[in-house]
Order: sequence, then structure tokens, then C-alpha cells
Amino acid sequence: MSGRRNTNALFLLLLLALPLLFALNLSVGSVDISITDLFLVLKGEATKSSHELIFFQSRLPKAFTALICGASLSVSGLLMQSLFRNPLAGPYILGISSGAGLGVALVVMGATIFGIGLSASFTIPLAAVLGALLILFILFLVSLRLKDVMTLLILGIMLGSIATAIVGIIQYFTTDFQLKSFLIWTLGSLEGLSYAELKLLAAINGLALIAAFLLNKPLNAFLLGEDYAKSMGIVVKSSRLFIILISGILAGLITAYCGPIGFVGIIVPHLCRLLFKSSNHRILIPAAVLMGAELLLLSDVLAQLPGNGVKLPINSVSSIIGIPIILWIIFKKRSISKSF
Amino acid sequence: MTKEILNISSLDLSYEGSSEKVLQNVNLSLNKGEVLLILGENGSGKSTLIRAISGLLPYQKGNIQFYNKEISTWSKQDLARRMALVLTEKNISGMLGVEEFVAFGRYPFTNWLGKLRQEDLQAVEKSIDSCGIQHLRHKKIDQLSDGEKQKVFLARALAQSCECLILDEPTTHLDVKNTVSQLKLIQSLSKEQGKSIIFSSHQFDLALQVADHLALVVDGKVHLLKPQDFYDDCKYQEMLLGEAYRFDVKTNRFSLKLFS
Repeated sequence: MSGRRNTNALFLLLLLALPLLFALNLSVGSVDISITDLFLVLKGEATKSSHELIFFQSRLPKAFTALICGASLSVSGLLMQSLFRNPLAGPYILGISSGAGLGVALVVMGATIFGIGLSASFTIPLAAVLGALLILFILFLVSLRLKDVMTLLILGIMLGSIATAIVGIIQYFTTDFQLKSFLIWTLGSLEGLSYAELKLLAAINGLALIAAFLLNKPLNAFLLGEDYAKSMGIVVKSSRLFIILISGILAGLITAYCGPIGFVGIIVPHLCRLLFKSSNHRILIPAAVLMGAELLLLSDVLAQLPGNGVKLPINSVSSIIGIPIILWIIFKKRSISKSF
Repeated sequence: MTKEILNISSLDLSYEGSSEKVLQNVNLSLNKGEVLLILGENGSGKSTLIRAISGLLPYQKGNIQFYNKEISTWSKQDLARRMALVLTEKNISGMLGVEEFVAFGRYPFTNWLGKLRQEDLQAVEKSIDSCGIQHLRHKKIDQLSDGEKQKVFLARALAQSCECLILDEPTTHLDVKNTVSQLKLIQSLSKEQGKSIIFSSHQFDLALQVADHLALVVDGKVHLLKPQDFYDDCKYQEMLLGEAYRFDVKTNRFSLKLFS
């Protein structure tokens, strides 16, 4: 079957591209480290000690963050698009990032207003996780009672808007300095994660990605609509809860550590469908893991392009790369709904 | 020996989230290997009845016993191994290959990863053959015409290897030739493979020829008849066809009575 051969060839291509982009990402930065230098560092024979320091303290954790972040957001977005049968859905459609934003806003800017100040390094991720969990918890309670998945979508969007509105009020009353540090969080960053944080992120999101793959049957069944899903033996309510939970964990934790990195989660699922010409989640989930990681590694490389140590915000770069790709697809295919 | 697989007694049905009754006091039963045809006007409640029988629509009053067990108490997976469904809605999101789509019919039997075993592949192959869609197998669902979709959806349901098939309007969008082949398939599935089939259709004259029983859905009531009763009794014809279309015993066909 030629279709299957194509699929395998594409997977091979994506698998080969991953280490290449990873290495490229490691070598680019304010100090150029050539690929041969990279090997020397790995062998413990670095010619300059500064290379070793930059490599292990900054480049390597950042590259791993990009990898996990891209994979997680793409799969999270894919789950939302399939659950809601909506090509515009993404990891943040249910207000997860707005909830996280509210948590962070309270911690970063709340000090001036409420007179509380928490400034340990773990408080921002913790506040973001709590904010995301709050939204997830409300959605969970509601989805137990709801029959209709569309109502849930609207509710998620409204919850997100409320959180954003509260953030707006906090922003209005805060100081310039704190406002800027909050805005920097909203731009997203792949930097600054310690190895301990990375391990935690990799462990939890790794498990969530495996869980997402195990949901491939209900996800495929949802493509036919919930009635058919039921008639095929899928327990719709609990599958829906699992999908929301997994998608929420993936997006929530990433938002906590890296800020809201928006576009990857919407665009990568579409790229995978177009590339593999399939909507089967057995193919799409591993494809989204690989392509998501690669797109974010590439975005991060491009974010360093201005040189002289100037770095563009990753959130803006991923959108600037993503939008032309989406436009190209739309013009080529005339309609994105065809591929969806 | 006949084996009863479905028994509905004093069932009242309303649309989901509404208290207005669509159908009242429905009583019907179906044996193994029999075909039940549901006829009725648009909006008469055929699809509502079909959704209730499939366990998709909750009901307040009455019983639907499937294999002597109330339909609402079946686990989804067990039910999916006994009953397969084709609804009128055939919008699916995304790009799926026909073969891949038919293989979704094996979901009640496969593991978490949906891995197809030898027997699953055989079942898929067999249903593609029975539905005559070999020429479509490498196409994508969104490239199919409405009529082709109809057959592909039936193939997916057949791949579920169920003893009971429920088909909501399986002949809509089909031309006469394909309608006939679809009905022949329904007949052979019931008579040769012993499947029990419930289906609705608007091509009543063709569909009646493969039915063992007829459920006529009119004004919130379900009249259970033999197909022959429909030809013999003008009362039933008027219920379904209105005043101007009748079975003419002399010519042995349905004909229009425009100016009488």
C-alpha cells in the first residue's frame, strides 16, 4: 500500500530532522558554537571552558524546553481540535492560559494592590499551575452535567475572558515595573528552566503524551460525531473528561514554565494533517510530537537571528513563522476545512 | 425456532430536553433474521424511534429490551458488539481513507491502541466486498459522493460484525440501481447471515419488498403491520402517501390519482 509507505517515509524524515534541528538550536546563540565544538563539549574536551558553561547551563536546557514545549502544545491543540471538531481550536481555547495568566498576574502584580509579595523562583510556575487548574476544575464539574460539547467550548471561552478581564483590572492598578515583568511573562520564554524543573516537566508531560496516544480510539471516533462514537462502544463522557484533562495538563504546565506560547498548538496539527494526508490520531499524535518539537526548535533558532545577543520573544517568532505557513496552506488548498 | 432480539413495550418518547411527546405507547418486537422497515413522513419521529432503539435517546416511560436486557443498562462496548448503526448524519471531520474508516468498525473488538488483528482485517475485507466498494478503498471520505458515502458508512457498520443492524435511511442519495443493490444486500444479510435489521426509508415501494415487518409512524403512533397489509388496506396508504397516491390492484402498481 503506497499510503503506508509514504507515511513511514515521512516519519523517517521527521525523525532524522529532529536531531539536526536540535544540534542547530544548540549551536546558535550570542556565542556561536560550531557543530565540531558541540561534539568536543559532549566528549568533555571543550576547547574553551566558556563553551562548556554556556552549553550545559543555557543551551541544553533551552533546547530540551523547546522540544517538550513544542511537542506538548501541538498535541494539546490537536486534542482540542478533535474534541470540538473545530479547526480553530488550540491548547488555550478553554481558557487554560488565561487562568494561568491570572495566577501569575496575582503573584507578580498583586503585591502592590494586596500588599502580598511572593518572589521565590517557583512561585510563578506554581501560581500559573493553580490558575490553570482552577479553570480545568470548573470545566470538569460542568462537563459532567453537560451533554453538548459546544456549550463546553463557549463556557471555556467565557471563563478565559473573565480571567483576562480580572488581569486587566490588576494591570490597571499596578506599577510600571511590575506591569513590564508580567508582560514579559506573556511573551513566552524557553529559558531559565533548571534541570530539576525540566525533569519534572519531561516526566509529567511525557506521561501525558503517552496517555494522549492511548486516547487515539475515542479521538478518531469523535471525528464521526458523538452518536457514532457511542455506537462504536466509546464511553463518551469519560473519554471527553480524559481528553480535557490531558490537554489541560500539557498546556497548563508549559504555560506555567514558559508562558503562553500561542500559535504552535493551532498550526502544527494542521501541518501534520496536510503532510500525512490523514486525520487518524494513530498517525497524528506522534507526528504532532515530532513536528511541534521541530517547529519550536526552529522558531528559537530564528529568534536569535538579529545577532549580538538580541533575542526576539519566542511567542512572536512562532506566530510570524506559523502564519505564512497557514496562509500558504489556505491558498494552496483554497480551504483549510478540506484538510480538517 | 425463532429468537426474539428486540422487544419494545408501552414506550413513550420525546426529543432530548423537551417534555413534548413525539411517540406514544410504542409496542413492537423483532426476531433474529428479520427485517423491520420504518416508514413515516418527514418529522414523524422515525429517527427518534431509531435513536431510542440504538440507546442514544433516554426515555421516561416504557421498555426497550434488547436480548432480554434493557437497552440503557447495556455497557457501550457490549452493545457495540451486538448492534451497529448508520445514522442520516454523515459529516465527518478530517481526512480519512475509506479503508481506515471501515476499520473503525472494529473498535469494539480491538485493544487501546486500535491494533488490527488478522480476524479484524478479514472482517474489514469482507464488508468492503459485500458493499461493493473495492473501487473506493484508496479514496478519502471527503472525495466521495453522497451515494458512495452511504455505502461506505454501511460497510463500516458491517465491519462491526453485529447480529443487529440499525440503518436510518440507507437508500437516501442513491440512484435506483444502487438503491436496489443496497436493498438486496439488506435482504441477503438477513436471510443468509441471520442478521436482524431495522431500517427506515422513503423509497417505500422498493423497501417494502425486502421487509418482513412494517412500522408505520403516523401522528405520534406506531402501527405494526405486515407489508401485505399496506398494499391491501387503503387506510394505511393514506396515512403515509396522502390522498392522491394509491396502490392499484388492477394494474398491480402505485399510481397517481390527480383528478378524481
